[in-house]
Amino acid sequence: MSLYVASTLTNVALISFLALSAYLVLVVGEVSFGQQAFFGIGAYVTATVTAIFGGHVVVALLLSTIAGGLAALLLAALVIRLSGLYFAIASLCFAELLRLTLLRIRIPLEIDGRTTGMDGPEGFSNIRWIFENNFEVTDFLILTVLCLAALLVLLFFFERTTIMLRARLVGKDAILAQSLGIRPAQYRLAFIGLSGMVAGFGGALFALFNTHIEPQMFGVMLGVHALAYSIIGGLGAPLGPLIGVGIDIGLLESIRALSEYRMIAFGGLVAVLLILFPQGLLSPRVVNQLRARIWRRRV
Amino acid sequence: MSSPVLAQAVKSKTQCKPTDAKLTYECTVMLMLDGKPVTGADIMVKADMPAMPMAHNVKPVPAKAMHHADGQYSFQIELEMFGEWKFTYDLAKPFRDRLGEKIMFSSGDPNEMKKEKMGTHRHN
Repeated sequence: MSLYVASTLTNVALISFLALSAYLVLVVGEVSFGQQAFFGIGAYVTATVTAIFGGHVVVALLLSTIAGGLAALLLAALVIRLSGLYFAIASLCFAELLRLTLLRIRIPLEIDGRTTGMDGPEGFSNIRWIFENNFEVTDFLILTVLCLAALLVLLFFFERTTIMLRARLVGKDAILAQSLGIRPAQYRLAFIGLSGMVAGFGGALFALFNTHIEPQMFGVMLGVHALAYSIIGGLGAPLGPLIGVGIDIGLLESIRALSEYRMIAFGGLVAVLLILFPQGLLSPRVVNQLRARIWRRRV
Repeated sequence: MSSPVLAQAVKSKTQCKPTDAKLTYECTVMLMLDGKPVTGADIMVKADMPAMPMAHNVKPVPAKAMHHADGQYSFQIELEMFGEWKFTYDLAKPFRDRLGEKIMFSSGDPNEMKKEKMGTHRHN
């Protein structure tokens, strides 16, 4: 497999974590423009643990997941009374606050003759875990795909639980959910926290793969894309956001003729798809229809 | 069998000139280790935009060693748009390493592009 194909596929898998984290927030009826913040937190935590403290990668991944989750919980707790547009703006503000703070933090360190550590706009360099452990690009692709597959399997089973059904009801009609004894605030808190964990884990893998991270990488564009992938793909199943990622990076990337017009094409495609499929390609309705068909065939 | 990993940091310095083809640049990179040029390197150059990580995947190109210029390698790369790009140099030989530089590519008359617009910032 060529370096280009392996890198592109790894990027598809990495951004899928972010798309899935945006999906989890959308399930409970909120729109977040700030998932990139949790992705960034995960990336910086893993960079610190592996490059500065020389910690084990499993510890780094675990801490990144926890840090992403805690940051998301903090945001959710702070703005628990906000919903809709107000929550969206609050999440964007949180992400920008974090990005601007990271731009200000300068603690460069010299380790083995290399500059590493947080260095404001210059970013965090020399995250050398893949070199120290002799990981080739294809090896990292396999690792990322396995992690993504594990997450999808977890979410697949999670979809069948009453927790997910209740969360979807909260997302659809919070007042109705409340009248049935469900507490929407608790579900929102839990799902936003969970989304932060998923984003944090993805960010950790991103830092290991990229070997260099900087605040600019975790800007609003990344959050907008993550959200767009979930909306295009649909909220019917966790596979939806992955379809969105596949359309943007997989399909548009392959049409090299579009090159500089790709972002315009992507924007146009989002608009067209939302007109034709307002609930996304894999909407809850489509998923229910597919399930009913499969069930009928089995019977 | 993979190449050994280097303990010390390799430094890079990149310069790019626009070509007649739109968004295509002819670049040279100088690799130095402890003040000495790095020769016989096997380099693949990747480019992506820091402002939009993972979304722009410019096809990686190999950098070829320049004759009569030890430690200098040249490559031609086609970008997707103007703006700040990060070049990543993946070294497979004589040791395994990765280094990168951020370069600002601006629009306007390519022949009048000033050096400060093409200024590089080493991050590794």
